[in-house]
Amino acid sequence: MPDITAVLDEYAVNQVLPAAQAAVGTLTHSGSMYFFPCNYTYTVSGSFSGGTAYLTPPNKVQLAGFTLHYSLYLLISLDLSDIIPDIHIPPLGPYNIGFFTIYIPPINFNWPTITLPLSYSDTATVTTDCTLSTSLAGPDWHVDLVVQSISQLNVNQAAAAILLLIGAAVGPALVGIPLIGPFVGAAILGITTAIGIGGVLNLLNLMLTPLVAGAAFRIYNQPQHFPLMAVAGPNDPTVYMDLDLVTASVVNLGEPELVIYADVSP
Amino acid sequence: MDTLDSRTLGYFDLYIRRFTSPGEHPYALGAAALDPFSAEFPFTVLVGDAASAAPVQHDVDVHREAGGLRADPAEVRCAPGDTVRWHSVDARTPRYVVRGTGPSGRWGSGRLESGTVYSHLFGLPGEYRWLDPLGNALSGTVEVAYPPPSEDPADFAAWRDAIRTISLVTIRGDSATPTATKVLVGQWVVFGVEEAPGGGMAIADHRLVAPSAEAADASPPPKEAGDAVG
Repeated sequence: MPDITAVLDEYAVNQVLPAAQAAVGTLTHSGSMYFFPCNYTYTVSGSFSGGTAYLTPPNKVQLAGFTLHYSLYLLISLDLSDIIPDIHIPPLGPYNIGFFTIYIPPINFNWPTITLPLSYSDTATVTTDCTLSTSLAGPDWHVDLVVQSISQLNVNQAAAAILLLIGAAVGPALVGIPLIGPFVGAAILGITTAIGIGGVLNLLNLMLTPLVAGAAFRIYNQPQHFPLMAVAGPNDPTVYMDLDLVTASVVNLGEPELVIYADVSP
Repeated sequence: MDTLDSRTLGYFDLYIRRFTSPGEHPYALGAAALDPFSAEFPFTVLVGDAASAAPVQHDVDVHREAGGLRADPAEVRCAPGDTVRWHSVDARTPRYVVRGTGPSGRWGSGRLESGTVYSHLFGLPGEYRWLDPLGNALSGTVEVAYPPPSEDPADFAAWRDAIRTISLVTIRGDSATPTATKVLVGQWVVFGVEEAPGGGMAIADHRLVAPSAEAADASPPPKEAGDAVG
């Protein structure tokens, strides 16, 4: 039988949720990945707000419909030769130029690798399932809602917008590439088709998931050693209490409740 | 890469020289800005005594190997009146200069003599105003255009056909004919130096020629230019 039992209903959990989200601050994640024909290097940062917490016994809290505010910086590099055929100008000649005859060698020009820089900011609606995690970290006990799985990450509109941005970035990236002129249209179409909406969706999911998965929203924080009663006089000093163990669970007590149990010692 | 400058040669350039004097014409390939005229000439053009019935063009491919520039073949055997063409086989080959010596003195791509050709394939559109950075009163323009935008494969085929033709600018003394040339992206312009102005000449985009350096030359002056004259 725990010494202390604290019970929070859904309303109470939702009251502490905004502060818990704000306390997470801005998370940043960097990485790189390759999906033919592109190599993606990215840095994405995000913060959370809104949504509703639903207590689901046993021991699950769903955070539904909260907002992920994210900004991403993406470098897409790709070998143009994977998109459009390389240029082969055959040998030319003979040409009589008046004082002798010349032959022109063939030109086999391989397209270079180009890099498309992309910045994008947006919001995504996210629904996650969380578990409760209690831990003694340093001098404090924590109870966190830790994201275990993402059941919804709505980035469909963002994917379409990013694909448009990619298409718009191709043209400037081709400036200065010899012989590309007649192939600019084919390059833009080829790159956006090769990546596709599906590719951008996949990319967004892979970039944003690490921001959300594993995120911990702290709903309870208490020093392990804390004053229970303040000093009341020269012979009545402060009374301290130690939290020896803290556990938490979601249980059904007629309605779902988040219960925090604590064992204490003087 | 799309640099109109005969003083250094890139993938979109070629240099052709006619050899008329029998004997050995050793030469070197060097990075223009870094190499002084080399004392070593690892490659050779050997010109025999007997002229062939019809002049032949011999092709030398330039490529980078083991940190240096190599000519393939390293030795060209030809007859008087034959021509030798240098061209890099790889777009990654750094710009280079052909510098040689021989019975008639020094020669090289940095200074176009009579009986030489500098040719450039234009890869980017624009108006290229060229002049002679060696100070001769030679100049002209090359207007390079994209083919008209079109989704029609026939138009694309027409462009491919168009770039299989060359545009010729003939240099005779201080005269270039024509002075204005229009080509499409991907097309070669051949500058045929039938008769070089005294001391030789070069061709360079005016943007590459610093006013104070217009009279300077990257290569040593030839002792005589007559070797290339047929």
